[in-house]
Amino acid sequence: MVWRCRLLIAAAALAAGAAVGAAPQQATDDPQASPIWRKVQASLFEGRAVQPAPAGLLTLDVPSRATDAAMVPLAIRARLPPGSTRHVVKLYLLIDANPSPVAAIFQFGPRSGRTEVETRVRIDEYSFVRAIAETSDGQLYGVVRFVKASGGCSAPAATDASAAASALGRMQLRVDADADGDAAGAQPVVAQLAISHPNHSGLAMDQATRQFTPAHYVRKVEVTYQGEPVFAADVDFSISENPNFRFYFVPRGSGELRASVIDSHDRRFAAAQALPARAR
Amino acid sequence: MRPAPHRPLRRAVLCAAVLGFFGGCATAQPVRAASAVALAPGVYVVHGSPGVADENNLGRIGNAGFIVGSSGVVAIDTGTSYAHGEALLAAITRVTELPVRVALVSHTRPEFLFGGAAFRARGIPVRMHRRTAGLMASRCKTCLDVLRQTLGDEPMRGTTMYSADQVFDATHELDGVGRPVRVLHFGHSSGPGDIAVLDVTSGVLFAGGLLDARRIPDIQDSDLAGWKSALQALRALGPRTVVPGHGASSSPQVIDIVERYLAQLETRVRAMVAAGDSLLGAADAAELPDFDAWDQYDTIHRRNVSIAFVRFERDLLFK
Repeated sequence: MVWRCRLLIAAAALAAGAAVGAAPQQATDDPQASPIWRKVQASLFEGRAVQPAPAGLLTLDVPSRATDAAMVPLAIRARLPPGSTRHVVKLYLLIDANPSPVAAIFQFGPRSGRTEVETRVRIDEYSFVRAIAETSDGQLYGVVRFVKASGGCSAPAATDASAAASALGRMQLRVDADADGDAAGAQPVVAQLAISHPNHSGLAMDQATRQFTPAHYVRKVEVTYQGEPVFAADVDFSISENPNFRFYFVPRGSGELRASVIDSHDRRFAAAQALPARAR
Repeated sequence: MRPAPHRPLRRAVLCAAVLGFFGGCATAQPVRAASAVALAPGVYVVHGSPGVADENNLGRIGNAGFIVGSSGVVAIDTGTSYAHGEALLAAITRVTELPVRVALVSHTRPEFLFGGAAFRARGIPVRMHRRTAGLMASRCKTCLDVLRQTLGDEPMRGTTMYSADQVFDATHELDGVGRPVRVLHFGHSSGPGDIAVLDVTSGVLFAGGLLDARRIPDIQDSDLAGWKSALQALRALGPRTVVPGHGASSSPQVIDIVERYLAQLETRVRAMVAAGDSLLGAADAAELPDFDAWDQYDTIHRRNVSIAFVRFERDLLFK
């Protein structure tokens, strides 16, 4: 629970700073000098230094120009050299220009096999996007990318609120049956969790009614296989509508992949997918 | 932010591009006046510039038109700004002394509706589908802010948000111009309140958001199934000439071509979703070579892929 509290504190401390009309970030700005980044570093990492990630250790794959600011796909991949005695325990995702810059904190369990995650985020405007890996010995490594995104005229037509409400919390866990991997299931395979949820930020005003849609978003995701932790995410409304996560796990024998989700109204949702022993 | 040294070049390119539409670039200035081209007796189009809104084209990237009846004129779409609306009104005045009875807005995009303020200033009512008015009210303030940032304050002077003077719900015959003009709504198609306008006498069809010519159609506001059936309905009308929302006036074949784009987009993206592909590489993987020369292929097509991907994924989740 400690890390979750930390996210909330960081979000609260930063919300004001990000929301009050600072000039938009530019690609040529020094990412280290960003006032938001300095606050995050102070609150989330208690001032610990974040080293630039050595080549190959950490990548952040995100388009430099987002075609749809409400749905920007990105992937974070961390890999320590083979034989390393350390492992990556957490990945942080930060979006400087968003009202709540700490978008997600991902944790990987022993059954994960790969510290990789792919999801989709909202990016309010031109912003630095950062991925930070924390290793088991407490080191922090970061990468930063600049993303141009703008809501502009592309704000979509309102979705059917009643249909969205009836589907709230429906989830789909998907494991590719023919995924890469070996007969023994010792190699990690990719899984995808899709959640039907509006993920309202509480900050979007309907220009016609002048009303704000109340905040309602997924805040925690946990996935286990055979009861052992695979993947967990502590997230907020920077994650796009209908949150979607791709991650890896090591099947090794038959079992059940289970996902549980909690939203900001403390509603809980669950999904499970049984996996047979691998036939090949 | 904007690279000023490139302006003359961009202007020249624009001039060359506009040449095709207007048959000439007489002045050194980018096109400020709006020149109307007759498509049939009493039926005129004012073509917009290709590309995205910028300070050279003044955001005038959408087509507009008007139909002159025996007792009045109906304007179809109002332009991007107050000044653009004025220019369209001036183009009408050069052709006829008859009064403009009404201005129709075909769909909820800034280049078709923000000239409405100029029409309203002259007491001309602006008329649109109820759902177009609703969508405009819910999001277009942001579009206006963005346009002002892009084009500058001067070209957007006097341009304001407004509410439609007249709204309607269904297909109907337009009164007051002394000529049969049909306003067609097919339900939620390219947009929730998108309309087409048919001049019955000439068979000229103003297609608004339903059709673009050699420009990628935008699926953002669409219901794809509704759009497909609307296109069949348009074909059944047997129009002689089609004025698309963007691009040159065309033969009715443009209906088949837009249908083909939508079909290819859907087939390609549905296959990707069914295969469990990632959204991250979707736009790169969904190249459609048949359409890669079209205006906005690098922008609207890529966004279309993302939008379609997420929609089809949702279909899968909810089925």
